[in-house]
Amino acid sequence: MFKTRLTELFGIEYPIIQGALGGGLSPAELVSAVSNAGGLGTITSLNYPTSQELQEEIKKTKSMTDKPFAVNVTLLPTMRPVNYEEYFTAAIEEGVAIIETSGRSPEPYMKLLKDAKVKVMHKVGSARHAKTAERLGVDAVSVVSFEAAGHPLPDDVAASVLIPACVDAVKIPVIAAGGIADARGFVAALALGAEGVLMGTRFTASQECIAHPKLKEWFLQLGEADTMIVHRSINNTERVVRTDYTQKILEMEEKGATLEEILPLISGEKVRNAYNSGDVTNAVITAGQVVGLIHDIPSVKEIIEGIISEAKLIVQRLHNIEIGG
Amino acid sequence: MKTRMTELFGIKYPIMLSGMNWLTTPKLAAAVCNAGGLGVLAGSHYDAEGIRKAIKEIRELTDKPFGINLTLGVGAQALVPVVIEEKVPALNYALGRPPEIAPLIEAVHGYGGKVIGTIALLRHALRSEQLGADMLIITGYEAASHSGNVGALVLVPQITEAVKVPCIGAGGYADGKGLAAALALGAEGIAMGSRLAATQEAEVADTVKETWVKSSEEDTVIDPAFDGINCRVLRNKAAEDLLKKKSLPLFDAISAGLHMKRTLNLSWPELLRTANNLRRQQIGIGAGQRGLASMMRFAVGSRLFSKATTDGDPVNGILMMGQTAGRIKDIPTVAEVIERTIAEAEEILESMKAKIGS
Repeated sequence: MFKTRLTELFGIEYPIIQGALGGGLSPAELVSAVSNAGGLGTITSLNYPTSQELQEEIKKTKSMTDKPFAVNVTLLPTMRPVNYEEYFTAAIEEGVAIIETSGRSPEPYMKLLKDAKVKVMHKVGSARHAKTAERLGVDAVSVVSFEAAGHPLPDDVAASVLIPACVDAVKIPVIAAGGIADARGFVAALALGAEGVLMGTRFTASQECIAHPKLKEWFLQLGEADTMIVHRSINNTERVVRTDYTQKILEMEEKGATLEEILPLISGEKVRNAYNSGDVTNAVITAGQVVGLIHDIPSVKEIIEGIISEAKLIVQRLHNIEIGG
Repeated sequence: MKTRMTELFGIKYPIMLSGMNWLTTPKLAAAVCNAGGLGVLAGSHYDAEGIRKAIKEIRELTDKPFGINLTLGVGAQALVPVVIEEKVPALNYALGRPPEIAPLIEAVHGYGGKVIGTIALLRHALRSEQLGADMLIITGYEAASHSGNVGALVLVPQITEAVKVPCIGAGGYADGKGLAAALALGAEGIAMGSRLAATQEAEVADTVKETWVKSSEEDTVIDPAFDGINCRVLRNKAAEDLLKKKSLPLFDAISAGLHMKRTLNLSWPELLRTANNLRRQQIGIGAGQRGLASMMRFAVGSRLFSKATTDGDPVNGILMMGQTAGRIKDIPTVAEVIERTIAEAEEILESMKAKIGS
């Protein structure tokens, strides 16, 4: 038995969410594995060039699990114009119960989503954005801290402070995103007031993830200090693995390179190629600081069940401390 | 209440007062000791007689164990003999190189004292353990003053799984939520700096205490511009000014260098050695300027730090401040902070049993 406000809200067994993964990394196989293991898998809609293709992937996911899963729609600026409404509509038509928005305020789409009785979770990077999301009618916020892979906010606030700050700021459930890969981080996040966790890097290094085995093995070699933040200069902060290639991009940014000069180096196609081939020398690969805590490549089920069973042991250990004495 | 930290020092609660130059005073350190925690006084800005007097004052105010914090490598070596002569129960070092740390640990162990090493990187943790430190303070990215680039949620489990000595977390801790989280991550306790300094007992100007209460978690900045090493401070006018200056004006640098020589009571060779040491103290990646330039930054920083704290001017002075400031909403007594931290952590652990089961 496991109950938080998040498990109740989404009708899931464990408050563990697989974060949206770009570069084609979260297809039906991974998403359904997470949902079947009691967590919440997330389809990343912008991995699909058209809403029809997204719709096909949702259909495929439904054929692989009867558990709830989510669809992420990232509203960040993209290289090609995107008709977001089509993506939302595709998800709604397929009866997806949970939609995650990120990147920008979901305000223009809230009526569409609420009318369809979809549960909305929104990614935020600060307490004030959490408040705004709550005011817009969002059902839960995932709080992306400094440690996170993907796109943390440029305020650089770490999870230990950002999670409780957001928990204090809103009444809706808060999900910790960033800095969590195992039971220790999971229990810590709940202690800080979160109702659940969202993990990306951990699920990338899983059996079911379609990234090339060489890439997953590479993750095992990395330490907690092997990531850094780039793209501050183009207002699209991203935490990436420190390589000669990303170091070069950072230097270009520091010398005042223009968006046009940087864009070709950071294209999604290069990332996709790296995920497929395992050759990371010419791509910007995102990873959270938790990459330093990842020492194995288990199945999704082992990850989720491992966290739950170890969390029980941690709670037992903490109980024995008898804090007040 | 038992963790390896409380057992090591024979204290009631696993909470330490972070040693903060210009902010920790004998009265504040003793208040923490008397409330059941481990009070630590930062000594690097004292001279030898000053630190001896401060230790005496703490002993007059409490019969509990306490600690002295020394920032090695920036002139505090001169104070080490005094602290050893006085047989302080706990010596907490920060920065420093093995040739300075090893004899210090041996001397403190010689009289039965304990040594606490402050670290921000895994390799420094392993080195401190190897040198014989009894406990480590893991400084997360959130922390005021010097730190690396890794957040506590990742750094604490990373280091506690790699070393055998007990570790406590520092940076980001202000309440029972943080204590419960730190214990879950594998720490044996926490150090609180800003939270325990924003208290009735702290002998710092009200303007500074009010700054902590008013500030949000987004009001700090971390940069090597302030004292030559990555350092987290309040983003105020003085900080913005220093961030804008890529190099320090020669006059500022020289006058601040002389000021530091005077305050730290350094001889000329010591001043140069300090400069050389600072060159090697690279905490985070990409941190730190080089050599004399770095020392001059440290000197300018030192003067501005004392302007914020001693003069109570958090606008024109540089105030070291952690992201924790966003969690500080009041100015209670030290005992209140500690009691409610413990009570909240207990409550969380109880509710966790209901959520997760055991």
